[in-house]
Amino acid sequence: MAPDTFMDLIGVWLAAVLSLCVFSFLLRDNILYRVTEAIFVGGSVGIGIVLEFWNGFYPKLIVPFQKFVAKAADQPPERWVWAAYMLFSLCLGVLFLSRFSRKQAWLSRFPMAYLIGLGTGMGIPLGIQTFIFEQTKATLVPLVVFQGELVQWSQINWIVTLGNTSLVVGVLCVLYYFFFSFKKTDLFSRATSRLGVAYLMLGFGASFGYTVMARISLLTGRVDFLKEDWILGTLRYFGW
Amino acid sequence: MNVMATIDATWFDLDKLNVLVALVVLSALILYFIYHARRGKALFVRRIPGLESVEEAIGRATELGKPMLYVSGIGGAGDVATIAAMNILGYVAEQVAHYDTDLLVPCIDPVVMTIEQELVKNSYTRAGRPENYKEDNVCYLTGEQFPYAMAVSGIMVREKPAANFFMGSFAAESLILAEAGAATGAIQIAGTSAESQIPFFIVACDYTLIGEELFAASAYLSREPLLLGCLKGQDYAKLVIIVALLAGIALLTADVCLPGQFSQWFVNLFASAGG
Repeated sequence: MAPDTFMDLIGVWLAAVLSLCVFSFLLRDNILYRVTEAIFVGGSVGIGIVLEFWNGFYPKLIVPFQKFVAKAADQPPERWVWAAYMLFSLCLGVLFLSRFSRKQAWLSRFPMAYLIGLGTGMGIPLGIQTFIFEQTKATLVPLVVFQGELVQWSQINWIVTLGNTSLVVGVLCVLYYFFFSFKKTDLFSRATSRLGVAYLMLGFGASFGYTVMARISLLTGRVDFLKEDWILGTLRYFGW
Repeated sequence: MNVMATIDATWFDLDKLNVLVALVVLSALILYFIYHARRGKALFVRRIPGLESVEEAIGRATELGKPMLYVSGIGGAGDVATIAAMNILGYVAEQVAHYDTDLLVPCIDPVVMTIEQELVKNSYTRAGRPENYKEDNVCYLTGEQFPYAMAVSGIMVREKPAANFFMGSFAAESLILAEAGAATGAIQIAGTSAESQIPFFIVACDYTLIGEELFAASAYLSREPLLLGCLKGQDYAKLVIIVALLAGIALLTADVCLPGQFSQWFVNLFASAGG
C-alpha cells in the first residue's frame, strides 16, 4: 500500500526507522536504541499526562463540577453528597503532591492507605467469586458419562469420561501442591505433589507454545510492514 | 400501554450470599490460626526453592559490587499481586540495607512508586541504615507497558545488576524483561500469579515462584506469626474446597449412574450472580 500524502510517507519512514533502531538491541546496546528508548518513554509519559487530563480529570471532575456550581442553589441533596465525594477524592489526590515536601510527605500515606484498602476490599469478594466459585463450579463434573439414556458399561463415553477424570485429578493434585503448611513426607503426598507439578508444567507448556505463536505473528506483522508499507510503499509513492 | 420500571437500591445482594458465607468461613479459619500462631504455636512452612535463593542473589550482588533490580510488575497499587510483591520488596530491601548494595526499583505506576519509596525507606530504617537509602533508586519510568519494558531492559544492559527480581503482575512484557536480564548474566528470581506469563519466567529465570507461592512468600521470608497464621488458614480453606469438590463430584457421578437431580442444588451453591 502506497502512502497517500508526503506526511504519510514521513510517518511510515519514522515508524520503520524506529522499528529498526529497536531491533538493533538484538546485536547490543547502542546509541540508536538509546535514542529510540528515550523517545518512546518520554512520548508515552507525555501522552499519558495529556490523556489523563482530557479523558479523566477534565470530563469526570471539571465539567460536572462546573455544571454543579452553575445551578448550585437548585441541586437536590444527593448531588451535594456527590459533590462532597468528588471534593474528598480531589483532596486525597492532592495529598500525593505532599511527597514534594520532606516535612509533609507523611500526608501522602492517607491516599495510599485508601487505595490499598479499596483494592483489597474490592478484590477479596471478587476473587472468591472468580477464582474459587467459578473454578469450583467448572470442576464439578461427573466422573462417568454415558452416550445415551442407558446406564450400561458398553454405553460409557470414554473420551469425555477420561477427560473429566483427568480434569478432576489435575485440579486436586495441583491444589494439593499449593499446600504450604502441611508436611509432605509420605509417599502419597509426594506422589500427589509431583503429579500436580506435572499437570502445571503441561499447562505451562501449552500456554508457552500458544503465546510464542502469537509473538511470531506480531513479528511477521512488523516485517510485513517494513516490506509492504516502507520499502514497496515508498517505491510506489515515487511511481517506481 | 406505558410501563414504568423502577430500580430499588438494596444494601444486600442475596445472590451473593454464598460469597459472604465463604468469606466468613475463610476469615474464621485464618483468624483461628493467627490466634494460635500469636500464642507461640510453631507453624510449619514447606521449602520454597525460589525464595531460598533470595539470600544467594543478595550475597552475589554484594560480592560483585553491583546493584540489584526489583521490578514489581505492571499492576496498580490495588492489585493483590502488586501488594504481595511489595511485601517481598520490604524483606529484600531490609537485607540489601545490611550489605550496603544498591537496590534499583523502576516503577510503572506513580502510586506504586510512592508506596515503594516509603517501604524501602522503612526497611532501611529497620535495618539501622537509614543513611544508605537513596530515594532516586525507586523511580517512575512511564505508565505504558512496552516503553516500560524497553526502559527496564535498558537499565539492565547499562547498570548490569547482579540480581533481578520480577515479582507481581505481568503481561506480555514478561519475556522481554526476563530475556534481557538473562542476556546480562544476572541471577533472576521471578514470581507472578498471571498463569500465562509463568512459562516465560520458567524458561528465562533461575527460580520462579508459581502462582500462589508469590502470596506465600512474605510469610515464608518473614516468619511473622500473623502471616504464618494466614498461610495455615488458607491451606485449610483449600482443604474445604477439596472436600466440597469431592462431595460434588461424587453426587454428580451418582446422578449419572442413578438418574435423578439430587446433585443440582449442590452445583447451584457455587453459582454467582449472572453466572
